[in-house]
Amino acid sequence: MYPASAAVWTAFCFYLAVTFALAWLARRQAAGGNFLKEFFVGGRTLGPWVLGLTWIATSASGGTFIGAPSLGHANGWSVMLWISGYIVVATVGFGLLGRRIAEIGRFSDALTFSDLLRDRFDSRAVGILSGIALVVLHTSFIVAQHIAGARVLEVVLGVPYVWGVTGLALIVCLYTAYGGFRAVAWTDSFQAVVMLLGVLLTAGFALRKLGGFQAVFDGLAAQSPDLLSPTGPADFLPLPAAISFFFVWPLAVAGSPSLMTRFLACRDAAALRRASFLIGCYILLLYPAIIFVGIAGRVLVPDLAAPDHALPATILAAVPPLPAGFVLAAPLAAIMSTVSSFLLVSASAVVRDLYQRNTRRPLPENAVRRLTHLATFATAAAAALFALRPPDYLQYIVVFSGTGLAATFLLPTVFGVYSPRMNRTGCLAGIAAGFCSFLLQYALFGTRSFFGFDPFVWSLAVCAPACLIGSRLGEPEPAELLQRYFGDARRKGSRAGASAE
Amino acid sequence: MARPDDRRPDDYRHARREAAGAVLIWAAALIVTVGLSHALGRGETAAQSLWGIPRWVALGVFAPWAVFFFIHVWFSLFFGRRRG
Repeated sequence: MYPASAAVWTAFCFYLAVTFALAWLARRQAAGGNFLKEFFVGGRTLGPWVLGLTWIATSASGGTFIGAPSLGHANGWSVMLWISGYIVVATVGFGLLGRRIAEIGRFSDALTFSDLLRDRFDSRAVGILSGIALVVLHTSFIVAQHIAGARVLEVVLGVPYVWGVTGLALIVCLYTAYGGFRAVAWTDSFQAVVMLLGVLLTAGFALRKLGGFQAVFDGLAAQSPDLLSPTGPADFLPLPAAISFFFVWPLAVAGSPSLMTRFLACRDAAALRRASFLIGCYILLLYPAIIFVGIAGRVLVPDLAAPDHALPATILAAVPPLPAGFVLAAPLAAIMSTVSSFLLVSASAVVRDLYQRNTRRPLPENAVRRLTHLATFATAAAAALFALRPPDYLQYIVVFSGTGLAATFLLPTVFGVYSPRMNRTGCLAGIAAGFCSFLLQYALFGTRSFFGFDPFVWSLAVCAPACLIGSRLGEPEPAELLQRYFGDARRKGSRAGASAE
Repeated sequence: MARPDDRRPDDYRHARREAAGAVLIWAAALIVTVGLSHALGRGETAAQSLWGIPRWVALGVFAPWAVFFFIHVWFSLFFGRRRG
């Protein structure tokens, strides 16, 4: 559909070359020692820059770069309110669980999200349940990212869909399996920079081409006044939906297992604080700009072949050919960084949570290494196969892996790490209630549940009492386990536990 | 392997205070942003422009975003440090 120029190919190949070079350098920097600790949490040595950038690159997926501008294109300025929950994503994402998870990771030696829950509740069932959920839902999310990436390659570079899926899966899988968490974090950091520069350049060029904000305003007003209102055309964002998205963005990010794993890899509390500050700056620049690109695209290119073409169409209409090649790497960077992180979490769930921690026979390090590489390649291959012929229910799984995972795991994790009164029965009850209520609402009502709120909001409302009632009914955790996690706070009190609950 | 002795006695309480602070900031941002945007964007006023941006976006989304950005800077760099 759009002409592929040599400049676009050159920029894309340069981007891939830098990605592989960084993966190679990251592998050389590996500290050695325990393979799993190095492969899954980078030896717990991440400083503020890499920690912050890998966190945001994992969080921003193909949906951010393909879906958000498309919504801006279709619904105008109302999408700025839709995305406004990102105002506090860095504050909540790091403040709610970051410090506590980093601390627990250091003293418990947890390598994965499931490790964290399993050790806190001393429960194999919790570990296996969360491991299975992570493998299934993250793999399905990777499928969706492959589809988005292959479509970008198809539209922009004319690469056939099948080759796009295969190539993308192979590229990401190679550098993930080669360098593990450290390579993923380093390449994520580079990709985060590409994403930010790409979006800022596109927004700047689009604004210059249109002649300023007032021209955008007038252009939208001429098409439809609804494009200027907070609710948008066809009641896109009524008040309950606007409130819902203020829950969805910050809390779904805070409850995402792949992002919690980042906290396990941080060097110390100071790195965490500085990373949080950097992410606040990054989000302030990226998210308003990416929505504005879609809004400006509505004036620049009002008619699109498909809604998902808003970003590439705006880039090709506003950005000169040479920078356009670089800028078009931004959505691919977002997709690749998310895929690599999710691949790593899925492989770690298979090797660590489902196999290693449930077998009595200790595995030699070489066998663990081979198994980890095999799990990474198998997950990537399965995702690529599904992406070639995506199942009809894929979109449901994708929505679930975005917000449903957080609806399932956020409150059990928050209560688990902060409240000594939370026990394994409460955790399992919370997981079951969060999962079932989200799934049921989504199947029955779609994205607007009771009173127009998102199913995520009601799932949290169901999950919280389930955790409390389950904890009341279940056996208390052993005293030494609580002493290990809560120290003196447990003895002084129940006051601490009660307030956290 | 496990290193429980590495912990400082107050780590848990500080982390909990930080989490409570994050939840309060989130609730304040929700009320201010959604409340202001819907109050300013009702009826005819939705079509008013401030420097080429709808007035409700400039005052209801961008202004709170700037304010909460500075709160975030304080929260991430100073609140945690003082407590830790």
